[in-house]
Amino acid sequence: MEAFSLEALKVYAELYLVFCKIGFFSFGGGLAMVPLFVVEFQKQGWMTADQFFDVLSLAQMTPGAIAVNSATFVGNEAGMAVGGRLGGIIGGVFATAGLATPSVVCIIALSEILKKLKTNKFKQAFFFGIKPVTIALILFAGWKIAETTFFEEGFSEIHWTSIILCLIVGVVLKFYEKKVHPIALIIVCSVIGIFIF
Amino acid sequence: MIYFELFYSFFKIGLFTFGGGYAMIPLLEKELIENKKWLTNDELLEIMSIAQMTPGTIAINAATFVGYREKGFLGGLFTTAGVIAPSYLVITIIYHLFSHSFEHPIAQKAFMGARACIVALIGHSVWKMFKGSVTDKYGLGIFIIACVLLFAFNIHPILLIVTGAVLGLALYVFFPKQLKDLLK
Repeated sequence: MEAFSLEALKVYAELYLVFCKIGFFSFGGGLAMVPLFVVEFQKQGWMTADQFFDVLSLAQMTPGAIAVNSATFVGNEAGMAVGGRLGGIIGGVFATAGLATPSVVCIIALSEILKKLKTNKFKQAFFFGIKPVTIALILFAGWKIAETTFFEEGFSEIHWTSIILCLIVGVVLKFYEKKVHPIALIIVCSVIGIFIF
Repeated sequence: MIYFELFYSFFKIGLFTFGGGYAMIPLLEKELIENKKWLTNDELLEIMSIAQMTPGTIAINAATFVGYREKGFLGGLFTTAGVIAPSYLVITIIYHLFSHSFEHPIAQKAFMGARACIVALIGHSVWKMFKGSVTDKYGLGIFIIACVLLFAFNIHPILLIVTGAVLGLALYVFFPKQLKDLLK
């Protein structure tokens, strides 16, 4: 089986290690990883920068975190080159697991530290300062999605239908927040989108 | 079984997160705070703060944190696997079946509709978090400074977090009296 040849196993190990490295050195979310991705893939010969930007647009359109989606795609591509379809499926597992490993290790270590500091005044002051920043970052992330949803590149055109749909959802949330599940809202809006756009 | 429940909750959240880790916040609120009662609003904000200053993607960090808190190491593995699984399955299926492209016009239109909805969901979550956690004028001050630095100067998130931490420590630990007199 070519998917378990020595060459293929070597690629899986490389995928795991490269994505571990990317995960470990990226702070501040998925898009912050893009420059790291491009540099590493070119070095490994898995993909050119141009190919990767196509992957990135797919990763933004499919469910899940952008970085995880990209890792799975690149793992499939690199694995398939040495081990056929099965190689691709295995490569995706190794790439994705590599990306998750630093998160799991760092978060568990941090959880233990935070447990010890339960009522420490430094910790409380630290979170007091950081929480408003987190809210601002979430607002900014929402704005970034709004920007590409409501406007054409450079604000040359306004998509009023999207804005109206968004406002309607806002009104629904204001009055029926407890009764509706966000997943139901997302599904309904996707269906509406098929008919109105 | 609790491990299956953890996996399933995060599988659902992963499957309906479009547009990056922060887009999962409205889903986390509904699943973890309202339905399962695993967290409070303030705890979720704390978890998001930790998730974004730790290496790795925000979605995985938040999933590991919640799972580990609920059920230790195994719990963390199950939530992490849960949030990753939809990504892995969807991308692998698209890669092997649809020859790398997902640009079908109907998919594009559905995606446009979903995004409009997600903007409203995130806006709603921000408003709830703001009301719940920015309770005095110092918090409000830090929020405004953070917004200006982000929107006007596009400062890197990590620098912004460091700024927030420094302000928090200065206001509450190192110079509480002097700074508060100054700001009166």
